[in-house]
Amino acid sequence: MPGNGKLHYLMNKKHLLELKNVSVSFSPGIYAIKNVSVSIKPCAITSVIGASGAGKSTLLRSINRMHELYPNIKLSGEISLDGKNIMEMKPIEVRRRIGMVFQMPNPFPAMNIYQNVLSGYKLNKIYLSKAEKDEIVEKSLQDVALWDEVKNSLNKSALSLTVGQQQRLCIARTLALQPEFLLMDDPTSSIDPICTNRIEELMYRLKDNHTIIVVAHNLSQASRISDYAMYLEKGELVEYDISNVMFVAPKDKRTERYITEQIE
Amino acid sequence: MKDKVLKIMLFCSAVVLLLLMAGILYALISQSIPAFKHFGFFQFISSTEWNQIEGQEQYGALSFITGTILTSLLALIISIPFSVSLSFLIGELFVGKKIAFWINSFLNILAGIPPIILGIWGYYSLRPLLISLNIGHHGYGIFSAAILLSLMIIPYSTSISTTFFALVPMKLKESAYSLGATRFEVIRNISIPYIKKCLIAAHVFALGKVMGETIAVTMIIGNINYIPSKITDTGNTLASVILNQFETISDLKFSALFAIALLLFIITAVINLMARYMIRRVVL
Ligand SMILES: Nc1ncnc2c1ncn2[C@@H]1O[C@H](COP(=O)(O)OP(=O)(O)OP(=O)(O)O)[C@@H](O)[C@H]1O
Ligand SMILES: [Mg+2]
Repeated sequence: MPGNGKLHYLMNKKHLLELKNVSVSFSPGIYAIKNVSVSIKPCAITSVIGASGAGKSTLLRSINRMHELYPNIKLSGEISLDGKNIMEMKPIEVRRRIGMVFQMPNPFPAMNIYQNVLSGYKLNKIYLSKAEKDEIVEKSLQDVALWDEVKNSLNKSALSLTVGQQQRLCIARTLALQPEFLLMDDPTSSIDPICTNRIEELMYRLKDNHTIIVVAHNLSQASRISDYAMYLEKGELVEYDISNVMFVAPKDKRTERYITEQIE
Repeated sequence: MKDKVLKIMLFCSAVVLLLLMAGILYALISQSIPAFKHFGFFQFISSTEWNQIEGQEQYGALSFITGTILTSLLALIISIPFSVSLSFLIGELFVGKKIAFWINSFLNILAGIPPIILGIWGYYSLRPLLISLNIGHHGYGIFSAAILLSLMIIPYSTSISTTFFALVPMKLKESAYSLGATRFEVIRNISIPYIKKCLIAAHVFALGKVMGETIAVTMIIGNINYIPSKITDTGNTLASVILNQFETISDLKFSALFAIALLLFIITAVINLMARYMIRRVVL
C-alpha cells in the first residue's frame, strides 16, 4: 500500500479528509457534483479523472471553500478535516492546511519572485525576520526545483518567468505555507513536457508528507503519478479505487468506457 | 438615402465642433498676445505683480497658477481617501447589493449639484464652521476652497475608480483567498496594487475636471493676489481671478485676463490628456 512508509508522520497528523454526500449547484436544480462521498487516503496522490464538465474542478474548489466567493453556488453535504466540518472552521485555517494550485499559473503581478513565494505570509499578516524569509524562499523554490533558475533574479517580476516557471512558482507559493493537503487542478496543462516531468517528480516527492488530490491532465499522467483514482461522470463519483486496479480492471461500465475511449 | 443624410449630419457636426474649438483657441491666443508682448511670456507667468493703477500697470499670473495648483492638489488629497473607499464599497465589497445602489445614487446627486449651491453652502455653513475651528481668514482661503472642490471631485473619481475594481482578475483574487487571505487582505494586497495606476489616473482625470471650477471657489477662496504660503492662507485661482476682474476698461488688463484664461486652458488640456494617456496605458 502506498504511503505506509510515513506511518510515523501520520500518527502525529491525522490527515483525514472526508466528503459525505457533497453536492454543488450553480443554479437551482442543476448539479455540478452530486452526492459525492469519499474518504481521501492520506500521504498519497489521488487523481481525479473524467470528461470536461464532469465536475473535477468544482470538487477540488469546494474542498478549498472557493465556492463561498460566489453567492450563487450552493453546497450541501459535509466535508470534514480530521473529523471537523470545514464549514465550521475558519476559512483561513482550512485554506492554510489545504493549499490549492490552479490550472493556469497566476503569480501576483505586483510582486517580484521573492515576494510571490512569501505572499501567503504577507496576505495572512504573518511577520517573519529576514533570515526566516530567506530560508522559506530558498526551501520552497528548492522544493519545486526552481531555485537554481531564479536565485540570481529574485527581485525580477514574476511575469518575466516562462509559463512553466510561473507554475512552479505558484506551487512554491502554496508550499511555503506548509499545507498538509495539496489540491492541484490540472497543474501541467499549460506546460511543456520537461516541466511537466519536473512537476510530476515534485508531486512524487511531496507525497511523503502531503496528501495530494490532482486533476490529471490525461490518463497516462494519472497512471504515472497517482496511487488512487476517482472517476467522475456528470457530477457523480462513479468509481474510486487504487489507480492501477481501476485502470486495468474498472468495476463500472462507465469507467471502462471512459478509459477505453481515452486509450484509443 | 437616410444613411447619407445621417453621414452628412455627423460630418457637419464634427466640423462645426472643430471650428468652434479653433475659434475659441484663436480668440484666447489673439487676445492674450498684447499682454505677452508687453510683459514677455516668461515674465508674465513668473511674476506675482497685480497693479491696476493707470500708468503703472503690472500683471503676472504666478499667484494664480500657484493658487490653482494648490487648491486642486489639496482638493485631490482630501478626496482620495473618500473616493477610494467609496469605490471599493461600490465596486468590490457591496457589488450588486442594494447599499451599493444607494451610495451610487447619493454620489450621482452630489455630482449634479450646481456649483453655485456648493458655493452658498460653503459661504454660509462651511465658513462659520472653519471660523469656529480657527482655520483660514474668517473661514476664507485655499483650504476652504479645496473642501468644496473635493466635494466635486469625489463623485467623478469614485465612479471612474469603481469600474476599475471589476478589472482585477478573479483568478488572482482566488489565488489570494486560497492562500488564506481574508477579504480585506485581498483588497489591500491584490486588488489595490493591481489597479493602483488606474486609480491614480482616475484622480488626475477628476482633477482636470475641477481645475477650472470657478463660482464656488471664488466665493470662498478670499481672492487675494499673492502666493499663499500655507494652505490656510487666502488666495486666488486662474479661474477666480478672471471672474473677479473681468469688468475692466484697461486693454492691457483685458489681455492679461485672456492670457490667464489661455494658461488655464492649457493646464486643463494637458492634465486631461495625461489622464487619458495613463488610463489607456494601463487598460489596454
Ligand atoms: N461559474 C459557473 N457557473 C455556472 N456553471 C458552472 C460554473 N463553473 C462550472 N459550471 C458547470 O459545472 C459543471 C462542472 O464544471 P467543472 O468546471 O467542475 O468541470 P471540470 O470537470 O473541471 O471540466 P474541465 O475538464 O473542462 O476543467 C459543468 O457543467 C459546468 O458547466
Ligand atoms: Mg476544470
